[in-house]
Amino acid sequence: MRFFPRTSVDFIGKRYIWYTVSATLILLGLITIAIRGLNYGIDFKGGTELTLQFDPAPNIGSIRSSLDKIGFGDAEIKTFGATNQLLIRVKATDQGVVTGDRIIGQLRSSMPATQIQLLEENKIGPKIGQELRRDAVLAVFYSLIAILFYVSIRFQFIYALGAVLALFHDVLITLGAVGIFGWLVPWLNLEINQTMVAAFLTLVGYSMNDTVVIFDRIRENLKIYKGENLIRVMNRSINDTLSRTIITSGTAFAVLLVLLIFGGEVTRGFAFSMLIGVVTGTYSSIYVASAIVVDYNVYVKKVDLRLTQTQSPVLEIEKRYEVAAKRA
Amino acid sequence: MRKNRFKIILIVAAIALALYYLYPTYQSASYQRKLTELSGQLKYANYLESHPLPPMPDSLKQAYLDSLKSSFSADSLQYYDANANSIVDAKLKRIKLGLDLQGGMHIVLEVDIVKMLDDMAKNKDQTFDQIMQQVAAQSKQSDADPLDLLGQQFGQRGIRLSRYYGDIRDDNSKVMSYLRDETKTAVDRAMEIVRNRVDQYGVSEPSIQKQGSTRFIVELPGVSNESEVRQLLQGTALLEFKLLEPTDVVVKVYQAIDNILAGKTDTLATAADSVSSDSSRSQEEFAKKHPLFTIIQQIPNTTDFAVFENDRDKLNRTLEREDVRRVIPSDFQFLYSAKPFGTANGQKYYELFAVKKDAELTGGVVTNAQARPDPNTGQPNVEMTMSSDGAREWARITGANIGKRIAIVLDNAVYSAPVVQSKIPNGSSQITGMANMDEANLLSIVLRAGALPAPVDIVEERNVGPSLGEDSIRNGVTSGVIGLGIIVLFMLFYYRTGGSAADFALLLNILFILGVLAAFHATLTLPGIAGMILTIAVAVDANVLIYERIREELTTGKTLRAAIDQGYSKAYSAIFDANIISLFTGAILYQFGTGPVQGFALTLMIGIVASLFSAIIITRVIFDIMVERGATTINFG
Repeated sequence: MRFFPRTSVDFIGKRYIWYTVSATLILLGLITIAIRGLNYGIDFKGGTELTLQFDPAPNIGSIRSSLDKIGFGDAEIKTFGATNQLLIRVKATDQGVVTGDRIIGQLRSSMPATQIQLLEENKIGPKIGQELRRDAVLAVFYSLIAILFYVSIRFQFIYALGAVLALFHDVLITLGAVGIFGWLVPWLNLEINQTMVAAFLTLVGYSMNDTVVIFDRIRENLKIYKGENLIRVMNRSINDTLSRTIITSGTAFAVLLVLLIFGGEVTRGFAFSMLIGVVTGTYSSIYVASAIVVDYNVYVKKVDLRLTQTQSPVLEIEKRYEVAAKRA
Repeated sequence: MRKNRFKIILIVAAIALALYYLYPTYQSASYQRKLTELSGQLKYANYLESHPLPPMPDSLKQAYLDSLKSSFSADSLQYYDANANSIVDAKLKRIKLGLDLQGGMHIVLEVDIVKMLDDMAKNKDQTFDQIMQQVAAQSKQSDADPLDLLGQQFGQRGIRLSRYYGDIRDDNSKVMSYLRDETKTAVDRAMEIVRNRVDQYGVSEPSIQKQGSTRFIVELPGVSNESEVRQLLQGTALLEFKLLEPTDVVVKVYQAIDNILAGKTDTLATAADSVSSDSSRSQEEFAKKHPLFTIIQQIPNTTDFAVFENDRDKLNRTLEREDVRRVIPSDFQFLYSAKPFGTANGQKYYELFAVKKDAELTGGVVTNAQARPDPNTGQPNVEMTMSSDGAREWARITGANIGKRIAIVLDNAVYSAPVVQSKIPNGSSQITGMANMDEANLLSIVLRAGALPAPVDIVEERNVGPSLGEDSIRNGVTSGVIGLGIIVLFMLFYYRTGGSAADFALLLNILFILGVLAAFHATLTLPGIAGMILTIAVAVDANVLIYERIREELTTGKTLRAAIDQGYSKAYSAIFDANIISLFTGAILYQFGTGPVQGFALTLMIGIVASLFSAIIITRVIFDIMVERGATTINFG
């Protein structure tokens, strides 16, 4: 069975509509981030973070007033997973590592009837947070450089540039989605932490994977039809690989959805970003990476890629078989 | 068959290797199960349910329960003894679970190089203190090497380093390289000493790794007692024996300070205005007249003084005052007792000691330390033995100071200040004043392992409770199984025979990933599990690429064999390029990530290589064999 038998969709011809869509989405995300800010996790912010389990479930208000007494009135308190699990986060203090002990001690003494169990505790010094932030940025930067370099060697520089711009596009859209969903759907607990950075690098890898498959087919088809109109070849290549594209991104999407639903709190941010990343990574291979190569040829190299009246925007499949047979 | 012989051998060898490396993990898990079964926790609980306790006094109850419990766990001990070697061996070779999965503490320690540079300097003066303050402030802001910062400060001021360090004739670069060596050794030694302490503390499978130039990471699986661990790792363990200043001098100094604080100038004239005679007057008036003696109070019936916990800061600041410092003799040092001496008005108070600044003897001479209860009082006690040089020195010191008190000071806190009764010839000494035996044990470990060359700070601490780890494993395994199920069914449904070959390869792929993890003694973390799930999702991509190609080739009317050949060879370049790039990002992630994220990157990289092997080689061999056996059609859906 097959989902997409021999399609001939004119993908590239509609690129300007999708440029607008992409730009709008990116802007929307960036504006949200600019206004609401991104929710940084303990890894990058520094401070002390406790995940506590209460039995019976506590009243957040009374916890806040209890913490206020020891000077942590500005603590960030939110439910984490189950309703009786709370995440309490306070800024880095001079007291350093004993902050957590003080908070637990205060809560235990103010709520003697409640069982309080420590699930997790993280304390990150301000210097470490700063370093982790820098490392994260460097990691994304270096991977982009590595990709630019490798794709330039295996394809052409303009393809590499298209691919890297596509990656920027994916990272920006996903970041925007994290910002928007983090704001509108607070129970997702989306925050920028180390796992989230891992997700971003993984989606860079995934998106690249997808782009390379299409580029590979373009490279192959360009050899077969020397002198053919680039738009027609590209459309053909995208259609040729469409079935694979849909299946692979479909399986990845399904598995990530499972991870998002069943994976628990710790991997949720990862699964969410990857989920968005799989969709935009697949899309950007066509409408950013490939489309930029086309527009580079049109506007910079001034190649006339206009189609004649009789030409269909997508190269006919039959024609390719003829050419292939002739070459063989 | 013949042309595939090499590939088949390769596949079989890979499966055998994976199983060989995974066997200890399986073995270890079954040992654990057996031990829990035998340990009789369950049987013990059941027994208690059905057999009410015989009547007995409360004091005996615990002992009875303990003996009951141990009689039930005897089986497990026996089993352990019989299989000890193999249990330990399996444990060493199994796939380890990360701290996020099994619970435990992850601590990053930083050696305080600034403090060390400060301690190392000689002829310190005000200029030096200013420089050190600058360096301390700067190094808090940036992660530049404190030594470089120090060099810059000296350079800016045009002062030679040799004024404070090394030999006066040395030039700056020589002093610098000397200091660099010293700090580097200090970090390595600190790490060694912490390793020593952790080993003696008895954590199973601790891990200690250097990170950067001044930090190291300590990972303690299954440990959750934070305060104890902190004490174990951070205590500098600088042990000193210091003579107490004579009581009469001390009291005079206190009175002199008191007078200065009260604004009196005729310091000695009013010294006779003794503290006790003032007690009848109102408190406020007393406070005004004797500011110091409202902060420190004489412990009744002794010549010692004590300070409330909350007043210690105030006292420290007072003693730092320029005018106060002038009346304190230069060899004086004020120290507090390590433990509160008692409680009054609901507040703890600490004893205040005035000791001679220079230590008579330091902990370097201690060769062994053992915690045991004092035979007479039953109080926790740490007994120390000294090297022969140390013992000789100790004999001389004790002999010369009979009747005087010597404070036993650890990390600037006084543990006890016994009166020397007689000359101690054999180098033995004791530390008392611990709250319980656990604390005494901890102290003895720290003393045996030796003093840290410089203080260490905890810059990062992560503590995962065991229940969270169990949840994480369950969540990870659930999502993994469901995700795998979806993919296996889809491939079967969509690509039929081809899909079943891909599924078979996928299952072997999982076996390979786990096998490689075990072979590397890698640690499985929650992000690692997520990485594995993701790998499963992307692993079928190579097969999808190949199968789509084969379908295309088949539509052009090629024979099955030709279509398979073409499908594999044409898909190859896309698969290769795509996976090389994924490997790049995996490697970069591994380089820049820490802890769990590195685990993720590692599984991702292993997964890429393993899935290439299974998707390209294994499925190909399956199809080749089918074709050779005479198949003219293979259902690719």
